[in-house]
Amino acid sequence: MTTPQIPKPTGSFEGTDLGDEYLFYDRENDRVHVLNTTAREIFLLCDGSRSEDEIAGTLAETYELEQATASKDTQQTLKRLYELGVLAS
Amino acid sequence: MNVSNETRTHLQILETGVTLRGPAEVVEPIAFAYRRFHVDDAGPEAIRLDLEAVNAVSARVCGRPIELVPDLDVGLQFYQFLLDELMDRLGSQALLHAAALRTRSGGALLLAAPSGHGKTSLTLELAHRGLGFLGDDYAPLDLDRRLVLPFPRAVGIHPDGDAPIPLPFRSLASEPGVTRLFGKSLLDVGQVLGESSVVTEPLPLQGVVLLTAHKSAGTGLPTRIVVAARRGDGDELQAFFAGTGGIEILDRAERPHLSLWSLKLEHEASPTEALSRVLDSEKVLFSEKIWDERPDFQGRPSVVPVRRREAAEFLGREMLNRRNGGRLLARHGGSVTALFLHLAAALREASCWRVSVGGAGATADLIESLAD
Repeated sequence: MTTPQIPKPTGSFEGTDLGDEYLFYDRENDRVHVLNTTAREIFLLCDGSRSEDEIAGTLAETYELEQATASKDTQQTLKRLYELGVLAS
Repeated sequence: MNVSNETRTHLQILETGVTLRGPAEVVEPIAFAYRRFHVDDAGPEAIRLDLEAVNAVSARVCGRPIELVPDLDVGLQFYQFLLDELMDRLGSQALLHAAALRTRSGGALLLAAPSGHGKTSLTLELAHRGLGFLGDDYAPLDLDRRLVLPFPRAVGIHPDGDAPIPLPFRSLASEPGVTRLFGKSLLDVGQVLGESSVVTEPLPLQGVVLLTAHKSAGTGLPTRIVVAARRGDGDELQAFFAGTGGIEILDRAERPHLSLWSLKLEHEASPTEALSRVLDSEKVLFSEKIWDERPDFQGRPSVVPVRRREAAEFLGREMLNRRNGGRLLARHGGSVTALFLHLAAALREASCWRVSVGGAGATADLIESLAD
Protein backbone atom coordinates (compact mmCIF):
# COMPACT_ATOMS: atom_id res chain seq x y z
CA MET A 1 0.00 0.00 0.00
CA THR A 2 1.43 3.38 -1.04
CA THR A 3 1.11 6.56 0.95
CA PRO A 4 -1.07 9.10 -0.87
CA GLN A 5 0.77 12.16 -2.15
CA ILE A 6 0.02 15.35 -0.24
CA PRO A 7 1.05 18.21 -2.50
CA LYS A 8 2.19 21.46 -0.97
CA PRO A 9 3.84 24.62 -2.29
CA THR A 10 7.63 24.60 -2.37
CA GLY A 11 7.79 28.34 -1.85
CA SER A 12 10.45 28.50 -4.55
CA PHE A 13 8.57 31.13 -6.54
CA GLU A 14 6.88 34.38 -5.69
CA GLY A 15 3.16 33.92 -6.17
CA THR A 16 0.60 36.57 -7.12
CA ASP A 17 -3.08 35.73 -6.89
CA LEU A 18 -5.13 37.87 -9.28
CA GLY A 19 -8.43 36.21 -8.44
CA ASP A 20 -8.99 35.04 -12.02
CA GLU A 21 -5.47 33.68 -12.52
CA TYR A 22 -2.42 32.90 -10.40
CA LEU A 23 1.05 34.04 -11.45
CA PHE A 24 4.38 32.59 -10.37
CA TYR A 25 7.56 34.55 -10.80
CA ASP A 26 10.69 32.51 -11.46
CA ARG A 27 13.14 35.23 -10.49
CA GLU A 28 16.22 33.20 -11.41
CA ASN A 29 15.12 32.88 -15.03
CA ASP A 30 13.00 36.06 -15.04
CA ARG A 31 9.97 34.09 -16.23
CA VAL A 32 6.34 34.22 -15.20
CA HIS A 33 4.14 31.10 -15.14
CA VAL A 34 0.40 31.67 -15.41
CA LEU A 35 -2.18 29.35 -13.89
CA ASN A 36 -5.60 29.64 -15.48
CA THR A 37 -8.77 29.67 -13.39
CA THR A 38 -9.03 25.88 -12.93
CA ALA A 39 -5.33 25.41 -12.30
CA ARG A 40 -5.47 28.24 -9.79
CA GLU A 41 -8.31 26.51 -7.92
CA ILE A 42 -6.34 23.28 -7.81
CA PHE A 43 -3.17 25.01 -6.65
CA LEU A 44 -5.02 26.81 -3.84
CA LEU A 45 -6.25 23.43 -2.58
CA CYS A 46 -2.65 22.23 -2.32
CA ASP A 47 -2.08 23.43 1.22
CA GLY A 48 -0.36 20.33 2.50
CA SER A 49 -3.48 18.86 4.09
CA ARG A 50 -5.22 17.21 1.11
CA SER A 51 -4.28 14.24 -1.01
CA GLU A 52 -4.64 14.30 -4.79
CA ASP A 53 -7.88 12.34 -4.52
CA GLU A 54 -9.27 14.77 -1.95
CA ILE A 55 -8.35 17.72 -4.16
CA ALA A 56 -10.11 16.11 -7.12
CA GLY A 57 -13.11 15.39 -4.91
CA THR A 58 -13.34 18.99 -3.74
CA LEU A 59 -12.99 20.22 -7.31
CA ALA A 60 -15.77 17.89 -8.50
CA GLU A 61 -18.05 19.01 -5.70
CA THR A 62 -17.38 22.74 -6.10
CA TYR A 63 -17.82 22.82 -9.87
CA GLU A 64 -20.31 19.92 -10.16
CA LEU A 65 -17.91 17.97 -12.37
CA GLU A 66 -17.86 14.25 -12.95
CA GLN A 67 -15.30 12.63 -10.65
CA ALA A 68 -13.36 11.21 -13.62
CA THR A 69 -13.07 14.64 -15.24
CA ALA A 70 -12.02 16.30 -12.00
CA SER A 71 -9.43 13.57 -11.34
CA LYS A 72 -7.97 13.92 -14.84
CA ASP A 73 -7.76 17.73 -14.57
CA THR A 74 -6.19 17.46 -11.14
CA GLN A 75 -3.60 14.89 -12.20
CA GLN A 76 -2.56 16.88 -15.27
CA THR A 77 -2.31 20.14 -13.36
CA LEU A 78 -0.41 18.67 -10.44
CA LYS A 79 2.01 16.89 -12.80
CA ARG A 80 2.81 20.22 -14.45
CA LEU A 81 3.15 22.03 -11.11
CA TYR A 82 5.54 19.31 -9.83
CA GLU A 83 7.59 19.66 -13.05
CA LEU A 84 7.79 23.42 -12.65
CA GLY A 85 8.90 23.03 -9.06
CA VAL A 86 5.89 24.92 -7.72
CA LEU A 87 4.73 21.88 -5.70
CA ALA A 88 6.38 19.08 -3.79
CA SER A 89 4.86 16.20 -1.91
CA MET B 1 21.37 87.68 -18.00
CA ASN B 2 17.85 88.91 -17.48
CA VAL B 3 16.44 87.66 -14.17
CA SER B 4 14.19 90.63 -13.45
CA ASN B 5 11.01 88.62 -14.03
CA GLU B 6 12.12 85.71 -11.90
CA THR B 7 9.36 83.63 -10.37
CA ARG B 8 9.61 81.03 -7.64
CA THR B 9 6.93 78.48 -6.81
CA HIS B 10 6.72 75.63 -4.31
CA LEU B 11 4.78 72.42 -4.90
CA GLN B 12 4.06 69.22 -3.03
CA ILE B 13 3.47 66.53 -5.64
CA LEU B 14 2.57 63.22 -4.01
CA GLU B 15 5.40 62.42 -1.60
CA THR B 16 7.82 64.92 -3.12
CA GLY B 17 8.40 68.64 -2.61
CA VAL B 18 9.35 70.72 -5.64
CA THR B 19 10.74 74.26 -5.94
CA LEU B 20 10.81 75.89 -9.36
CA ARG B 21 12.72 79.10 -9.97
CA GLY B 22 13.12 80.83 -13.28
CA PRO B 23 11.72 83.35 -15.73
CA ALA B 24 8.00 83.92 -15.28
CA GLU B 25 7.21 82.96 -18.86
CA VAL B 26 8.66 79.50 -18.21
CA VAL B 27 7.64 78.91 -14.59
CA GLU B 28 4.17 80.44 -14.43
CA PRO B 29 2.44 78.13 -16.94
CA ILE B 30 3.94 75.10 -15.19
CA ALA B 31 2.91 76.52 -11.83
CA PHE B 32 -0.63 76.99 -13.16
CA ALA B 33 -0.75 73.41 -14.42
CA TYR B 34 0.17 72.29 -10.89
CA ARG B 35 -1.82 74.99 -9.07
CA ARG B 36 -3.59 72.43 -6.87
CA PHE B 37 -0.23 71.21 -5.61
CA HIS B 38 0.98 74.61 -4.34
CA VAL B 39 2.43 74.86 -0.84
CA ASP B 40 4.20 77.62 1.06
CA ASP B 41 7.30 75.54 1.71
CA ALA B 42 8.41 72.50 -0.27
CA GLY B 43 10.79 71.33 2.46
CA PRO B 44 14.54 70.75 2.57
CA GLU B 45 14.46 67.57 0.47
CA ALA B 46 12.59 69.24 -2.38
CA ILE B 47 13.49 68.82 -6.02
CA ARG B 48 15.01 72.18 -7.01
CA LEU B 49 14.87 73.32 -10.60
CA ASP B 50 16.58 76.59 -11.47
CA LEU B 51 16.70 78.42 -14.76
CA GLU B 52 18.49 81.76 -14.96
CA ALA B 53 17.05 82.99 -18.24
CA VAL B 54 15.01 81.89 -21.23
CA ASN B 55 18.17 81.88 -23.33
CA ALA B 56 20.34 80.11 -20.73
CA VAL B 57 22.59 77.31 -21.97
CA SER B 58 21.88 75.13 -18.97
CA ALA B 59 19.44 74.63 -16.12
CA ARG B 60 20.20 73.28 -12.66
CA VAL B 61 18.34 70.24 -11.38
CA CYS B 62 18.96 69.73 -7.66
CA GLY B 63 22.20 71.67 -8.14
CA ARG B 64 23.39 69.60 -11.11
CA PRO B 65 23.89 71.61 -14.30
CA ILE B 66 22.02 70.12 -17.22
CA GLU B 67 22.74 71.39 -20.70
CA LEU B 68 19.73 72.71 -22.57
CA VAL B 69 19.20 71.84 -26.20
CA PRO B 70 19.00 75.12 -28.14
CA ASP B 71 16.55 73.82 -30.74
CA LEU B 72 13.98 72.76 -28.19
CA ASP B 73 11.44 74.87 -26.31
CA VAL B 74 13.15 75.69 -22.99
CA GLY B 75 9.82 75.41 -21.17
CA LEU B 76 9.29 71.91 -22.53
CA GLN B 77 12.75 70.88 -21.33
CA PHE B 78 12.22 72.43 -17.89
CA TYR B 79 8.86 70.68 -17.64
CA GLN B 80 10.44 67.37 -18.62
CA PHE B 81 13.22 67.78 -16.02
CA LEU B 82 10.53 68.18 -13.37
CA LEU B 83 8.70 65.04 -14.47
CA ASP B 84 11.88 62.97 -14.76
CA GLU B 85 13.03 63.97 -11.29
CA LEU B 86 9.58 63.37 -9.86
CA MET B 87 9.26 59.95 -11.47
CA ASP B 88 12.63 58.87 -10.11
CA ARG B 89 11.66 59.83 -6.56
CA LEU B 90 8.34 58.00 -6.33
CA GLY B 91 8.86 54.81 -4.41
CA SER B 92 5.44 53.51 -3.44
CA GLN B 93 3.25 54.64 -6.30
CA ALA B 94 3.15 53.57 -9.91
CA LEU B 95 2.56 56.66 -12.00
CA LEU B 96 0.21 55.35 -14.69
CA HIS B 97 -0.52 57.10 -17.96
CA ALA B 98 -4.27 57.07 -17.39
CA ALA B 99 -7.17 59.30 -16.51
CA ALA B 100 -9.01 58.64 -13.25
CA LEU B 101 -12.60 59.34 -12.21
CA ARG B 102 -14.68 58.71 -9.09
CA THR B 103 -17.58 56.40 -9.82
CA ARG B 104 -21.03 56.88 -8.30
CA SER B 105 -20.24 54.10 -5.84
CA GLY B 106 -17.13 55.92 -4.65
CA GLY B 107 -14.34 53.90 -6.27
CA ALA B 108 -11.76 54.97 -8.82
CA LEU B 109 -12.14 54.11 -12.49
CA LEU B 110 -9.00 54.32 -14.60
CA LEU B 111 -9.17 55.15 -18.30
CA ALA B 112 -5.95 54.10 -19.98
CA ALA B 113 -5.24 54.88 -23.60
CA PRO B 114 -2.48 55.83 -25.97
CA SER B 115 -2.32 59.49 -26.96
CA GLY B 116 -4.94 60.49 -29.49
CA HIS B 117 -7.57 57.99 -28.36
CA GLY B 118 -9.88 60.57 -26.73
CA LYS B 119 -8.87 60.12 -23.10
CA THR B 120 -9.08 63.80 -22.14
CA SER B 121 -12.32 64.40 -24.05
CA LEU B 122 -13.97 61.39 -22.42
CA THR B 123 -12.70 62.36 -18.98
CA LEU B 124 -14.10 65.88 -19.26
CA GLU B 125 -17.40 64.57 -20.63
CA LEU B 126 -17.75 62.11 -17.75
CA ALA B 127 -16.75 64.76 -15.20
CA HIS B 128 -19.36 67.03 -16.77
CA ARG B 129 -21.90 64.24 -16.21
CA GLY B 130 -21.04 64.11 -12.52
CA LEU B 131 -18.20 61.63 -12.09
CA GLY B 132 -15.50 63.05 -9.81
CA PHE B 133 -12.25 64.19 -11.40
CA LEU B 134 -8.94 62.79 -10.15
CA GLY B 135 -6.85 63.50 -13.23
CA ASP B 136 -6.92 63.32 -17.01
CA ASP B 137 -3.42 62.12 -17.79
CA TYR B 138 -1.53 60.71 -14.83
CA ALA B 139 -2.93 58.35 -12.21
CA PRO B 140 -0.68 57.47 -9.27
CA LEU B 141 -1.60 54.01 -7.99
CA ASP B 142 -0.48 53.07 -4.49
CA LEU B 143 0.52 49.48 -5.17
CA ASP B 144 0.34 48.27 -1.58
CA ARG B 145 -2.95 49.90 -0.60
CA ARG B 146 -4.59 49.59 -4.06
CA LEU B 147 -5.57 53.22 -3.91
CA VAL B 148 -5.68 55.71 -6.75
CA LEU B 149 -4.41 59.12 -5.67
CA PRO B 150 -5.76 62.38 -7.06
CA PHE B 151 -3.51 64.08 -9.60
CA PRO B 152 -5.65 67.07 -10.60
CA ARG B 153 -3.34 69.00 -12.85
CA ALA B 154 -4.94 71.59 -15.09
CA VAL B 155 -6.21 70.03 -18.31
CA GLY B 156 -4.60 71.09 -21.59
CA ILE B 157 -6.96 71.69 -24.49
CA HIS B 158 -6.14 72.77 -28.02
CA PRO B 159 -8.20 75.97 -28.37
CA ASP B 160 -8.78 75.38 -32.07
CA GLY B 161 -8.94 71.59 -31.96
CA ASP B 162 -11.93 69.54 -33.06
CA ALA B 163 -11.99 67.13 -30.10
CA PRO B 164 -15.51 66.74 -28.64
CA ILE B 165 -14.89 68.76 -25.46
CA PRO B 166 -17.94 69.72 -23.32
CA LEU B 167 -19.08 73.25 -24.03
CA PRO B 168 -18.00 74.93 -20.76
CA PHE B 169 -14.42 73.82 -21.39
CA ARG B 170 -14.55 74.58 -25.12
CA SER B 171 -15.71 78.17 -24.49
CA LEU B 172 -13.08 78.92 -21.86
CA ALA B 173 -10.26 77.39 -23.89
CA SER B 174 -10.71 80.06 -26.55
CA GLU B 175 -10.65 83.05 -24.20
CA PRO B 176 -7.66 85.35 -24.75
CA GLY B 177 -6.51 85.57 -21.12
CA VAL B 178 -6.26 81.83 -20.52
CA THR B 179 -2.83 80.43 -19.50
CA ARG B 180 -1.23 78.38 -22.26
CA LEU B 181 1.44 75.73 -22.15
CA PHE B 182 2.92 74.28 -25.35
CA GLY B 183 0.03 75.65 -27.41
CA LYS B 184 -2.70 74.22 -25.18
CA SER B 185 -5.07 76.23 -23.00
CA LEU B 186 -4.83 75.19 -19.37
CA LEU B 187 -8.15 74.78 -17.56
CA ASP B 188 -8.74 73.83 -13.96
CA VAL B 189 -11.65 71.38 -13.77
CA GLY B 190 -12.75 72.74 -10.38
CA GLN B 191 -12.94 76.28 -11.73
CA VAL B 192 -15.12 75.12 -14.62
CA LEU B 193 -17.37 72.52 -12.96
CA GLY B 194 -17.18 73.57 -9.31
CA GLU B 195 -14.89 72.54 -6.47
CA SER B 196 -16.97 69.47 -5.60
CA SER B 197 -16.11 67.97 -9.00
CA VAL B 198 -12.45 67.58 -7.98
CA VAL B 199 -11.59 64.59 -5.81
CA THR B 200 -9.09 65.30 -3.06
CA GLU B 201 -8.85 61.92 -1.30
CA PRO B 202 -7.34 58.61 -2.46
CA LEU B 203 -9.97 56.13 -3.66
CA PRO B 204 -9.95 52.32 -3.87
CA LEU B 205 -9.34 51.04 -7.38
CA GLN B 206 -12.68 49.79 -8.70
CA GLY B 207 -12.23 49.41 -12.42
CA VAL B 208 -9.90 49.74 -15.37
CA VAL B 209 -11.02 50.65 -18.88
CA LEU B 210 -8.51 50.14 -21.67
CA LEU B 211 -9.43 52.40 -24.56
CA THR B 212 -8.34 50.96 -27.89
CA ALA B 213 -8.84 51.64 -31.56
CA HIS B 214 -9.22 48.03 -32.64
CA LYS B 215 -12.36 45.97 -32.46
CA SER B 216 -10.61 42.66 -31.94
CA ALA B 217 -7.77 41.56 -29.72
CA GLY B 218 -4.43 42.88 -30.92
CA THR B 219 -1.11 43.97 -29.57
CA GLY B 220 -2.36 47.49 -28.84
CA LEU B 221 1.26 48.56 -29.18
CA PRO B 222 2.59 51.50 -31.12
CA THR B 223 3.88 50.78 -34.59
CA ARG B 224 6.21 53.74 -34.90
CA ILE B 225 8.25 55.84 -32.51
CA VAL B 226 9.91 59.21 -33.05
CA VAL B 227 13.02 59.68 -30.91
CA ALA B 228 15.17 62.75 -30.29
CA ALA B 229 18.61 62.82 -28.64
CA ARG B 230 21.57 65.14 -28.39
CA ARG B 231 23.84 64.80 -31.40
CA GLY B 232 26.68 63.67 -29.17
CA ASP B 233 24.72 60.51 -28.32
CA GLY B 234 23.51 60.03 -31.89
CA ASP B 235 26.00 57.40 -33.08
CA GLU B 236 25.57 55.22 -29.99
CA LEU B 237 21.79 55.25 -30.33
CA GLN B 238 22.02 54.66 -34.07
CA ALA B 239 24.09 51.54 -33.40
CA PHE B 240 21.53 50.32 -30.87
CA PHE B 241 18.55 50.88 -33.17
CA ALA B 242 20.36 49.28 -36.12
CA GLY B 243 21.48 46.30 -34.07
CA THR B 244 18.24 45.46 -32.27
CA GLY B 245 15.90 42.96 -33.88
CA GLY B 246 12.41 44.26 -34.54
CA ILE B 247 13.47 47.89 -35.00
CA GLU B 248 13.62 49.33 -38.51
CA ILE B 249 15.06 52.82 -38.95
CA LEU B 250 12.72 54.62 -41.33
CA ASP B 251 14.52 57.95 -41.18
CA ARG B 252 17.31 59.77 -39.37
CA ALA B 253 17.65 63.55 -39.46
CA GLU B 254 20.38 65.74 -38.05
CA ARG B 255 19.82 69.22 -36.66
CA PRO B 256 22.52 71.50 -35.19
CA HIS B 257 22.17 69.93 -31.74
CA LEU B 258 19.75 67.07 -32.24
CA SER B 259 19.55 63.67 -33.83
CA LEU B 260 16.05 62.55 -34.75
CA TRP B 261 14.81 59.11 -35.76
CA SER B 262 11.61 57.66 -37.03
CA LEU B 263 11.51 53.97 -36.10
CA LYS B 264 9.18 51.19 -37.16
CA LEU B 265 8.56 48.38 -34.67
CA GLU B 266 7.88 44.73 -35.48
CA HIS B 267 6.55 43.41 -32.20
CA GLU B 268 6.85 39.76 -33.21
CA ALA B 269 10.61 40.26 -32.86
CA SER B 270 10.11 41.57 -29.30
CA PRO B 271 12.05 44.83 -29.42
CA THR B 272 9.93 46.35 -26.69
CA GLU B 273 11.84 45.66 -23.49
CA ALA B 274 15.29 46.62 -24.79
CA LEU B 275 13.83 49.70 -26.44
CA SER B 276 11.99 50.75 -23.28
CA ARG B 277 15.24 50.77 -21.33
CA VAL B 278 16.83 53.06 -23.92
CA LEU B 279 13.81 55.36 -24.11
CA ASP B 280 13.92 55.68 -20.32
CA SER B 281 17.62 56.56 -20.33
CA GLU B 282 19.00 60.06 -20.11
CA LYS B 283 20.32 59.80 -23.66
CA VAL B 284 16.83 60.22 -25.07
CA LEU B 285 15.44 63.74 -24.77
CA PHE B 286 11.97 62.80 -25.81
CA SER B 287 10.08 60.13 -27.71
CA GLU B 288 6.62 59.95 -29.13
CA LYS B 289 4.73 56.77 -29.89
CA ILE B 290 2.57 56.66 -32.99
CA TRP B 291 -0.24 54.18 -33.53
CA ASP B 292 -1.15 53.37 -37.12
CA GLU B 293 -4.60 52.28 -36.06
CA ARG B 294 -6.70 55.28 -35.02
CA PRO B 295 -10.12 55.12 -33.38
CA ASP B 296 -13.17 55.54 -35.58
CA PHE B 297 -14.74 58.44 -33.70
CA GLN B 298 -17.89 58.09 -35.78
CA GLY B 299 -18.24 54.37 -35.13
CA ARG B 300 -20.11 52.34 -32.56
CA PRO B 301 -18.18 51.64 -29.35
CA SER B 302 -18.02 48.13 -27.93
CA VAL B 303 -16.83 46.57 -24.70
CA VAL B 304 -15.39 43.20 -23.68
CA PRO B 305 -14.17 42.14 -20.23
CA VAL B 306 -10.45 41.44 -20.01
CA ARG B 307 -8.34 39.53 -17.55
CA ARG B 308 -6.52 41.51 -14.88
CA ARG B 309 -3.22 40.30 -16.27
CA GLU B 310 -4.05 41.83 -19.65
CA ALA B 311 -5.05 45.10 -18.01
CA ALA B 312 -1.85 45.09 -15.97
CA GLU B 313 0.22 44.53 -19.11
CA PHE B 314 -1.47 47.48 -20.79
CA LEU B 315 -0.99 49.73 -17.76
CA GLY B 316 2.52 48.47 -17.11
CA ARG B 317 3.72 49.41 -20.57
CA GLU B 318 2.64 52.96 -19.88
CA MET B 319 3.91 53.09 -16.29
CA LEU B 320 5.92 56.28 -16.32
CA ASN B 321 8.19 55.71 -13.34
CA ARG B 322 9.57 52.27 -14.11
CA ARG B 323 12.81 54.08 -14.87
CA ASN B 324 16.23 52.54 -14.47
CA GLY B 325 17.37 54.92 -11.77
CA GLY B 326 14.00 55.27 -10.09
CA ARG B 327 13.12 54.35 -6.53
CA LEU B 328 10.15 52.22 -7.56
CA LEU B 329 12.23 49.87 -9.68
CA ALA B 330 14.96 49.80 -7.03
CA ARG B 331 12.32 48.74 -4.51
CA HIS B 332 11.62 45.74 -6.75
CA GLY B 333 15.26 44.68 -6.90
CA GLY B 334 15.71 46.27 -10.32
CA SER B 335 13.34 43.71 -11.86
CA VAL B 336 10.75 45.09 -14.25
CA THR B 337 8.94 41.75 -14.03
CA ALA B 338 8.66 41.94 -10.24
CA LEU B 339 7.32 45.47 -10.54
CA PHE B 340 4.83 44.34 -13.18
CA LEU B 341 3.59 41.57 -10.88
CA HIS B 342 3.12 44.04 -8.05
CA LEU B 343 1.04 46.17 -10.40
CA ALA B 344 -0.98 43.12 -11.44
CA ALA B 345 -1.65 42.26 -7.79
CA ALA B 346 -2.93 45.79 -7.20
CA LEU B 347 -5.68 45.07 -9.75
CA ARG B 348 -6.96 42.07 -7.84
CA GLU B 349 -10.23 43.68 -6.75
CA ALA B 350 -10.76 45.65 -9.97
CA SER B 351 -13.06 44.87 -12.87
CA CYS B 352 -11.32 45.33 -16.18
CA TRP B 353 -12.67 45.99 -19.67
CA ARG B 354 -11.41 46.85 -23.10
CA VAL B 355 -13.51 49.47 -24.83
CA SER B 356 -13.21 50.02 -28.54
CA VAL B 357 -13.62 53.77 -28.92
CA GLY B 358 -16.43 55.10 -31.11
CA GLY B 359 -18.50 58.27 -31.14
CA ALA B 360 -17.83 60.49 -28.14
CA GLY B 361 -21.32 60.48 -26.62
CA ALA B 362 -21.90 56.76 -27.13
CA THR B 363 -18.46 55.90 -25.73
CA ALA B 364 -19.11 58.08 -22.67
CA ASP B 365 -22.53 56.35 -22.23
CA LEU B 366 -20.82 52.97 -22.32
CA ILE B 367 -18.14 53.90 -19.80
CA GLU B 368 -20.69 55.58 -17.54
CA SER B 369 -22.65 52.31 -17.46
CA LEU B 370 -19.48 50.45 -16.42
CA ALA B 371 -18.88 53.01 -13.67
CA ASP B 372 -22.21 52.42 -11.95
